[in-house]
Formats: sequence, C-alpha cells, structure tokens
Amino acid sequence: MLGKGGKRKFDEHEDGLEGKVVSPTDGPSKVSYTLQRQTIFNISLMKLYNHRPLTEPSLQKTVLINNMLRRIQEELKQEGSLRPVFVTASQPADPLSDNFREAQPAFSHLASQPLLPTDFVSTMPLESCLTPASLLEDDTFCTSPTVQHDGPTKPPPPALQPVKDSFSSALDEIEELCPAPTSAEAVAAQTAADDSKDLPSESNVQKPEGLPESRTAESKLMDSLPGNFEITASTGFLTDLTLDDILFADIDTSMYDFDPCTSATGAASKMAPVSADELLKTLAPYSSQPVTPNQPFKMDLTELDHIMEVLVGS
Amino acid sequence: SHAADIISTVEFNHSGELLATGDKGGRVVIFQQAQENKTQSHSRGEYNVYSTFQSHEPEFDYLKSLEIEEKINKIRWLPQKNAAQFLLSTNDKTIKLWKISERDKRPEGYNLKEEDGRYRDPTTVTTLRVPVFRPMDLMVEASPRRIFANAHTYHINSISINSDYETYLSADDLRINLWHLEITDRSFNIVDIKPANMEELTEVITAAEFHPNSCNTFVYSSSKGTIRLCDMRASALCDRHSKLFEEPEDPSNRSFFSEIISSISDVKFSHSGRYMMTRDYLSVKIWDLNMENRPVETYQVHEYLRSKLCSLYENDCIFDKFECCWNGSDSIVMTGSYNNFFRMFDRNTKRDITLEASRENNKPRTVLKPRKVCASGKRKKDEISVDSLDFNKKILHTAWHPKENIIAVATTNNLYIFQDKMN
Repeated sequence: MLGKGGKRKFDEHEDGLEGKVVSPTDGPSKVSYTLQRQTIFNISLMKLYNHRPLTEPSLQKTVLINNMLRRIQEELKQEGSLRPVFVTASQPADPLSDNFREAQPAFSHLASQPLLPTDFVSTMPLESCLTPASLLEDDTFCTSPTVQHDGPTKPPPPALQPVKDSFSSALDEIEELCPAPTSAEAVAAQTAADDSKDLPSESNVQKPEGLPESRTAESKLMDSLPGNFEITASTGFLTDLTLDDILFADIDTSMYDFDPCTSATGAASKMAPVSADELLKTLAPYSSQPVTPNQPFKMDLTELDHIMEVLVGS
Repeated sequence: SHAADIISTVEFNHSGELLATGDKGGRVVIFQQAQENKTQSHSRGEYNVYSTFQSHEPEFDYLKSLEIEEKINKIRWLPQKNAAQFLLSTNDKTIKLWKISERDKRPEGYNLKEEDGRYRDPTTVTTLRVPVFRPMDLMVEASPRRIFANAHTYHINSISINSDYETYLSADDLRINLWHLEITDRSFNIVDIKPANMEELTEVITAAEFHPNSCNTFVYSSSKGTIRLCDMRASALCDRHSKLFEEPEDPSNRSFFSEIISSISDVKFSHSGRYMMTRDYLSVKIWDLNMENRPVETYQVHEYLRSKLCSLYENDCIFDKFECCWNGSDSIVMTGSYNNFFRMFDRNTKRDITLEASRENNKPRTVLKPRKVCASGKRKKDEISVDSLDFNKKILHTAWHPKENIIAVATTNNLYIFQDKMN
C-alpha cells in the first residue's frame, strides 16, 4: 500500500481548486496530478492489453477501464500540448489489418511489459517536468512555442488510420525539418520504418525484452479480443494522439554514431548497445536541474525522449 | 483448500429453514436448520448439510475459443408449493431450475425382483403379493427440471423471481430477459442497452430485481451508479424507464475513480417493497422509491479506502462486487468488506458495527467482538490500521434469515453462520 499522504503542495488553494480540478486523492504530495494521471493511464492500458484470460473478460471491467482511458485522453486533448510519452502503446483501430501487424512490434513493448508505476516513475524523465495541478489552470503553461509541429491546428486523423502511416509521415516531416540528416539518423529512420518487425523492443522501461516478447504480445492481443466488445473499442481515443503531434525541430543524434556499413545487416544488434540506461544518462543533465514550469525545453525533453525511443528502438 | 471451493453466492429460502450456497466449481450445497431442540432453549437449530449437487459444468465456447465458467453466480429459491423445494441457479450463460426432494420410503416386496434388484426367475414365483412402502434412511435428491439456455450473449449477473411465481428475469451486462418457469425455448427481451456501435458502449447493467409485491415492476442498476425502475405494462421493451434514481456527484470527492466507485454492485428491495438498497464500492444507500434525486440514507462501509483507490485500482480490488442484504424487518442492513470484516447498519438507531468472520478470533458460541479500523493517526489498542488489512480476505456474499436474527457470511472458502445471543 502507498504511504500515508502528506500535506499537498497547494493546500492554500485547496478549497478553491477542488471544485475545478480533479485532485489526486492518493499518495505523497509530490506526485503531481499529471504524473498520477499518467500512471493511471498506463495501469489502464496494461489492464486492457496484458490480460489474457481463458474465459471472457468482464465486460463491466473493460468498459470502466475504457471510460477511464477516454476521460484522460479528453483531458489531454483539452490541455493541448501535453504529450503522453506512452502514445506508442496505442493500437491502431483495426487490429486485424496487415498494417497493424507490421506496426505493432515497434510499439508493443510498452503494452506487453508490465509497467509498474514505480518503474514508470523512476525511468520517465517526466519527473523533471512535474506540473502542480494548480498550474494546469494557467493557460500560458500549455504552449510550446519552440516546437515546430502541426499540433493544435491539425484535425485529428481518422480513427482508422494505421499507426504505421502516421509514423512514416512523421519521419518524412523529420526529414523535412532536418534537410541534412546525419547518416546515423537516416539509417535509424530507415531501419525503423522498414524493419520495424526486426527491432527488438526497447524503451525506458528497465526490461529490454527481445523480439519474441513483442510477437507474443501481439498474438496475445489478437486472440484476447473479446467477442463482442473488442479492444478496438478502446482504440477510438488513442489514435487521435499520433506521432504527428510530437515532432520537433532538433534531434540530438550525437550518441548514435553508427557506422553506415553496418546498416544493412545486423543493424539491430548494432543498435543494441544503446541501452535504456545510456539514454537516461544523456538526459540526466536535464533532469537534474530543477525545472520550473513554462521552461520551453521541458516539452522538448518529453518529445526528445519519445522520438529517440521510437527511432533507436534497440 | 481448492479454488473450486470459493463460495460465489449465498441465499436463504423463504422460510429460512434452508440455506443454499453456490461455488466456483459449479456445486450447490444446501444446509438445513435442525429442528429446535426443546431441551436447549437458548439456541436455535444448527445448520447441517442437507444436499450437495453439481449444478453447472464448465463449457467451451468454440466460436470465441473461450471457456464458460461453471461458477454459480446466483441462486434464488422459489416459494414452496408442495413437498419438494425448487431453486434457480445460474452461471454466466445458463439458468437451471432444480427440484430438491426427499425420499424416506421405498417400495419393498416386488414379485419379479429381489430386494437387491436382481430379477427373479418367473417360474419360481408361486404366490403374489402387493409391494408396500417401508421407511428408509432419508435421501435428498436434486434433479434438473428445466434448463434455460442460449438467451444471453453476455455474462448473467442477476436472476429474480417475480411475485407472480410464474415468471422470472435474468440480466446480463446489456440485456434483461423475461422467462416463464415452464417454458425453456423462449424468453422475452425486456431491456436492451446495447448500442448499435459497440465502440460507443460506456455503461453496463450490473444488477436487476423484481419488486417483491408489484409483479409488473423491476429495477436495474448500472455501472454509472444509476438505478432505473421499469414497468412492464408500459411497453414490451422497457427501454424507457419509469423512474431514474441517481445521486448527483459530490464535487469535493471527485477523483479519477469517481465513476468506478459509483458503479452499483448490488440492488435489493426491502421486504416491504417501499425501499431499495444499493451497494457501490464505498457505501450502501437506501432509496425511497418515491424519491429519485437522492437516497434517503447513506452508510459508509469503509471510507478509509478512499485515499487508497489508486492502489485498489491497480490490484483490481476496486472492481470487487460486494452484495448487501436486509434483515427480516428491514431495520438493519448488512454488507461485507475486506479483512473478513462485515458491517451492519441499524437504520433506526443509526448505530453501526464491524464484525469479523474468522476461525482464529472466534470460538464457537462466543460473542463476536466488534472491530475497528484506524484510518489515520495513532492506532488504539485492538484497532487495526488500514495498511494491515488483508485485501484477499473479502466478504462479498452475506445473507440474513427472513424471520430470525441468523446470518450467513461467506469468506473466500468458508461459510459462517451467526445467530444473535438469545437470553
């Protein structure tokens, strides 16, 4: 069980805010609303996608978890530029399509591995971007002026758009933004797009499981779709958050100095040395600084992290 | 003990003489109250096993490649009309009507059969005699009389017998069907909340019950904390409710989990028919059927869990479906909690008590000691802190004798029967 709750940070505003803000009701005061929301979102996804019962899962439970996810997604949409890092766990609307089969392995690692909230908290650089719920009231927080993306102006893509398309278009836009990509980046992008099947799963989660894990998760997911209320029902909300939303101008690729000769074969194994821990080390300079809200690079940090895990995928 | 022994439902019959339990392994065990012992006037008869039978077997749905659990979700007794007893038992998909009858005599003295059943050689028969009934050891037989199948796509959560004693309803997540007890090949759909597009599904049916006196009226509760009262005379398909009971949300208690904890896990009419009780995750509410906008009474079962909802969501406890029950006079309501605790609320005195069903702490015939959970701050002696509660020890099913102060409380594997101290 969680430890006893301490005094919350914004006590003096408590009475006024509770009517407006859905306050966290759990845990120590330093767990912000945003972090708790992300934790709950992740737990919910895990519940929906990890579960492979022999009997039909409870429809009531599925509906309630689904509603939870939808509500959080609505909130995120309304808040505008808060990007959930785990958007990669989203499943395309049509899990039975071939596109799904191809795109799935690249993203299934987040769904297939049990993401304990503690793991999530410890590895996510989001810690450095904690936002007290009171500041969510402040509109100026929600802007990210330095990020060049289509963001709020772009209408949400149609629900049936396979993730792979948006991934490819995301990469296209990256190339547009960076007209002279390093060879490493081109290799990484190319390999990620074409050989996504071969990429062993990789993420900030401490367990870098290999390819079989994501394969199993994929087949598990396909098989576990309940007969009538399919998991597809829950994809309606997630496909709105596509990779298009997380593009930004600069990608720091300095740590990916790949030898172009190795790109053809064994690219996957060559990428392996770039582990989650090493990724974190590069981010450490950022996370060790106390971050105040409204710092523009805080949003970049989130997106940097995300884009790196997608591109590298070792 | 085995997982198949997990008790999944408990129900007294209309006289209280019989108590039925269903378990995860598809078995039904019926207990019978012993005749009152005239010499021991200070205690009522004990409950002993009367009959045990396998009600449901596991099945396999080949279309979906999924097992259909044999777990008994609900048992409901029919009122007794003759010497035999009848009950309905249901798993997720199929309802069965069982006849439980006693046999304490058997015919003896056949002409063509020996007593052990072997046939006699007809040529050796020289005289004729009339077989007579002789007493035998009591045998209780259960036989399935009706099987009501193939009417539910989703999981059955409730069955309820109508006050006309001819029809009954069965409810699953999205539909409620009306049956005639004599007819198994046909049922009428009276409620259907399935949306055309399943992606739009946000609410399911969680429980349903017929009104105890008015045979046209029933209620059903939802996962969003609403109760709808329907009148079958209004239309064939009761998609429009006559009344909608819903309490507005308390804004100061809003959280991520507000919807989940508002989901109603059980609904029960009072014996009088004037009130109904609902159980959601943290509370029990009493509703006056004439007032739709809020309950008339609310009792907190374990409010100290409100600050633990995230953990309870993570370990799935937040989805536990607690039941609730009335005593015979509708003055006390009872429901279960965690750590093998159960709670009683006296509606008249407004007092409540927490008791524990466990073998370690209670010897037979000792009075149960009240328990107290310490929510925060210094824990007093004999109090138990919230963090020490065992969330695997949950009491989901309780039942109250219709006439006397005898209660049945089911922990995971055990059934406890308590009675009040008679002076």
